[in-house]
Amino acid sequence: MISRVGTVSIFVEDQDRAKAFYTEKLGMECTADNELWPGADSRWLSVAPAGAETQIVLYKFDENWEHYRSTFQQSQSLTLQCADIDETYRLYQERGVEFLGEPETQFWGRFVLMKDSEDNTLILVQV
Amino acid sequence: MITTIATVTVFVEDQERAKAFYTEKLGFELINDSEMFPGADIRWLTVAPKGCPTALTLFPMGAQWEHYREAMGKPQCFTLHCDDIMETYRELTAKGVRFLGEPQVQNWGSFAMLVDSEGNQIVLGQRMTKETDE
Repeated sequence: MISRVGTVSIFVEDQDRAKAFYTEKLGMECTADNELWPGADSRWLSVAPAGAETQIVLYKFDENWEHYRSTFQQSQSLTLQCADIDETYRLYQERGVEFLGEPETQFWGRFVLMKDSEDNTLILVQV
Repeated sequence: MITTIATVTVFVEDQERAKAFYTEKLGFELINDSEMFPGADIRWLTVAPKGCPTALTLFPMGAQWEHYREAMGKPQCFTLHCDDIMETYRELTAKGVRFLGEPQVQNWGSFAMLVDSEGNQIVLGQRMTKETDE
């Protein structure tokens, strides 16, 4: 039986910069940071909200993922959830996270768009 | 503070077909199946492995998400995990799920590539140990 969504990758240019952003600005935990294979110049780098089983892999873009090139620095196909979006918006703004506007209300909940260190757009939601 | 990765989107051609595949073949639970907005011809359709807080959104390819079109029907940037890959491989194969080969053992665990109803290729993995281990 499939028990969980294991990982979702976000493609990045600079893994150190992305690691700093996701851990220091967004407050996620680094769950793995290893060489992809001995001598590789990119790493198997994952982060996750504290206690979450599903990991975000901060993957250095390479030729194996050419079919995702057009997604780079665009809206990412995942949503990140918080309990209180106004509080999270203020906290992340204080930490220097760039937002595209203020939290908006929809019939299903509230959301705001933000940029990561790689210029990817992320959707923050409160449902 | 972000507490959860709430959803990961899988782009599909046919929501009804994808819903049947993910619920009946993969055994996921149906979380949401409602109109995207009143009168919309697409639905807000999400499914998740039982008890998993992260859901998959089965979303039809369309205007706002054209930048993902090239990834449809190719290896996907998310993975699914199970506790026993040989058992899951046998169980899903018996239900008619297509795999690209048998499970392979790597140093980090075992994996097999399954193909969903839309032709998307998805890594099904089993970790050797805890997620945080090498």
